[in-house]
Amino acid sequence: MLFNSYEFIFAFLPITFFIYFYLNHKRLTEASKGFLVFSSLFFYSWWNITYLPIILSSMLFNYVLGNTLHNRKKKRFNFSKKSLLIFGIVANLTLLGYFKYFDFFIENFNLLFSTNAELLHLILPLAISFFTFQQISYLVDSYREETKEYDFLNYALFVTFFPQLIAGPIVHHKEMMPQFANRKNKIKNYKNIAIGLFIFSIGLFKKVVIADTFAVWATQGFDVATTLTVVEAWRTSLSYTFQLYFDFSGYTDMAIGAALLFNIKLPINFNSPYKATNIQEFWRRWHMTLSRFLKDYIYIPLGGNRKGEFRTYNNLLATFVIGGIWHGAGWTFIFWGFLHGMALIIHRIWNKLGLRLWSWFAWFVTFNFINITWVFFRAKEWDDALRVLGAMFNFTNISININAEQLIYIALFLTLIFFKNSNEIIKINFSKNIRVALTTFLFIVSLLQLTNIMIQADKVSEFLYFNF
Amino acid sequence: MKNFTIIVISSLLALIFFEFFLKNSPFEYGISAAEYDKEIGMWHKKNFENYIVEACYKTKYSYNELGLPSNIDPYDPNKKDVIILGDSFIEARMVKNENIIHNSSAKEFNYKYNFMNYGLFGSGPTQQLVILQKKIDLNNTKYVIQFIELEGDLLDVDSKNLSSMARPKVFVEFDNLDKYTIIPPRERTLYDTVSDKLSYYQIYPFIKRTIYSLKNALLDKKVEPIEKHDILTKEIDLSKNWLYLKGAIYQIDKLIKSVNSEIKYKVIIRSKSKKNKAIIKKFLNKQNIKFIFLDEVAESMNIKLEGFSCDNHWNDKAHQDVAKIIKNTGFIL
Repeated sequence: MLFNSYEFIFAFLPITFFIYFYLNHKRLTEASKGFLVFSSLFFYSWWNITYLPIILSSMLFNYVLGNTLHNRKKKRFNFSKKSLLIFGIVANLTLLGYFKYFDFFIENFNLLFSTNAELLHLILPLAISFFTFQQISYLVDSYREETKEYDFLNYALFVTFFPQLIAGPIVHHKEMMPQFANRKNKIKNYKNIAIGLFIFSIGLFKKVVIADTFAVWATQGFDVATTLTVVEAWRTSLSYTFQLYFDFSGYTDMAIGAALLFNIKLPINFNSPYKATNIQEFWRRWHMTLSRFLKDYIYIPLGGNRKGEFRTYNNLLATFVIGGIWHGAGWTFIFWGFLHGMALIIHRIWNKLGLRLWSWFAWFVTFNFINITWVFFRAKEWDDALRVLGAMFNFTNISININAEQLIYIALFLTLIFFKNSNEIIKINFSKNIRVALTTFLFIVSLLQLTNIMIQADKVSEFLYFNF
Repeated sequence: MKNFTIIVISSLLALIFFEFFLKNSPFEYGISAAEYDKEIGMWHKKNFENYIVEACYKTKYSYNELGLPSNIDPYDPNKKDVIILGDSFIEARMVKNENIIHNSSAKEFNYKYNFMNYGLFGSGPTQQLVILQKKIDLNNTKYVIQFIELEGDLLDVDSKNLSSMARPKVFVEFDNLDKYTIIPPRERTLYDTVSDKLSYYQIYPFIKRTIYSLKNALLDKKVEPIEKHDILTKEIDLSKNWLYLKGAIYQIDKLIKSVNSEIKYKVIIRSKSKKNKAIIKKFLNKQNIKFIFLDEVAESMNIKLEGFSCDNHWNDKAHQDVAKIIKNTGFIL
């Protein structure tokens, strides 16, 4: 089920909300948790029930293994903790690898050895990249004995809680379980409901009004047009840069808003990433929970910056290449990760040398680097990426007509650079009336545009990060 | 009460913002080209210009003081008129004004006549008969050319095929070729007044399409009871439709001759059905009305009349080609 669908907004969300709090009101705490897990699995299965057994078996496997890892002091088994952890991680990555990367492996094998092995054409189970990473972090936390909860219902809720199930934020066991256990959170909190609806409306507006508008221009340039002028090429790349941010941050806002209705605070995932003045800062502001995972579970275990400068560079590069391939099974994703890894290395050297740039110039370089590398991230084929990039730097035919569309770009640029992001907006101490007015305005415009997209394109648009 | 007021004001502001958004985004609809007309049901807005927007085109169209697609050459009372009747293919909002059939023909004939395009979307021969009666002064006319798309027009002549969502339309019902009754469009209602006011905004087509989609989804069927391809693929009793279509052509011919026997009436027919072609051919020959089958003439001239990818309406080149065909066939001298 999509957050930006009528069935979610007008049926699933309100029904789940009222039944959950009704059960809590009747002091049926376990039943309310069970209901939330059931609702979340229903939410997951709405799209394709075929993959329900995968998430259920993955959950059961990791729960048993996590428990075993935590109870190793009891010495029930002969395996070492480390070998159990490695087994768990390998099993999770095998599942992910089978569904996400097997065809990519076959394609490259065929290319390398001139064979003709058939592709499996597997459909990627929804959210597999997210729940796999989340559960790997749980296993590692269990290994480090940093977990405390071992009730399966709680664990199931941690994995499946519908606001974060499909596309994050990637949450830690330790930041979620205390919230599920807190008795205060079992009671309806009208302040949280008001703020939750406000954030949800901001997210819905970002997704259906802004991101889906830029999606039309990005698709036109990347997938339809055969030749692009320099202005069209920049419009194409910038459209995708805006689309990706507003789509994913919009999704995250909706997730945070929906979770807050249930008194659960999800971690923020975006903090004005396009305001960053260097690449390191960008990754502290973009998809923050993924960056946290990559740092805690890949970069630091590889040695981080503790084993000398050269190993640090290697670790940075490896972490970002893995980050690239996590996003998709394709060389363009790997190359995108490689470019970001290299940029981080260069930034590190730059800092070591004590060099500095004017802040506006640093922003300009950073933003354009990100914009250009998104071209690889978006393009379906190398040729598409090279076609768009080639046109972006072919200055032989420049004609600029200022029209409404260009003014929208300028307005959005200014908004991104100078305006507060949604995390900052919700911290503003609006009066109740202003908050009601803003929520209504954003919600009504979003619903109108949601209807408009359905009647013009005959379907609700998916979120980009559902594919990763 | 205070909260209610805030919600109402915010909702109104949201509607205003949405109108602005539609106008300045890739989701633009364009503005409705028609308004209520007590004789025809709907007619083009007069002295009006706007854009028509679909996936494969965004074209500026303009109507003159009579509500006709504008001419590239000004009207000259010293020249004779050529009246063109037809449906949306002839009205052709999606084609650049200078290339629409009346302007392409004007160029082909070196501006010898005043070509006047009375094409109207959703109209068939019966509506065109009333247009000729009510909107056109034939006193300065030398030619009347009517475009008929058989399969579509057989549907358009029957009031039962008027969608409940469509604008009101005049119909003509025939007992025989000589005896007919004009069924005027319904009286202007508050709905029409509101529609006409709203039709100057993008939100109007948005609301119409939303209601149309909802109806289809809820009723789980198309609003039109018969579709065009049904005529080609199914055995349907169309005897009444044929009578209405033939009656309209017969009465147009009669009207023209009653005004001035020098006026030439020509019919240009499009059809994918050999059976339908045979029926109309027999009728027109019997009435001594000049006609051509457009696809056959185009093929003989090695012309392929191409349409837009998103809705099949003739594109700019097709309009120029049809003008060439008219000249080549000697319909107009």
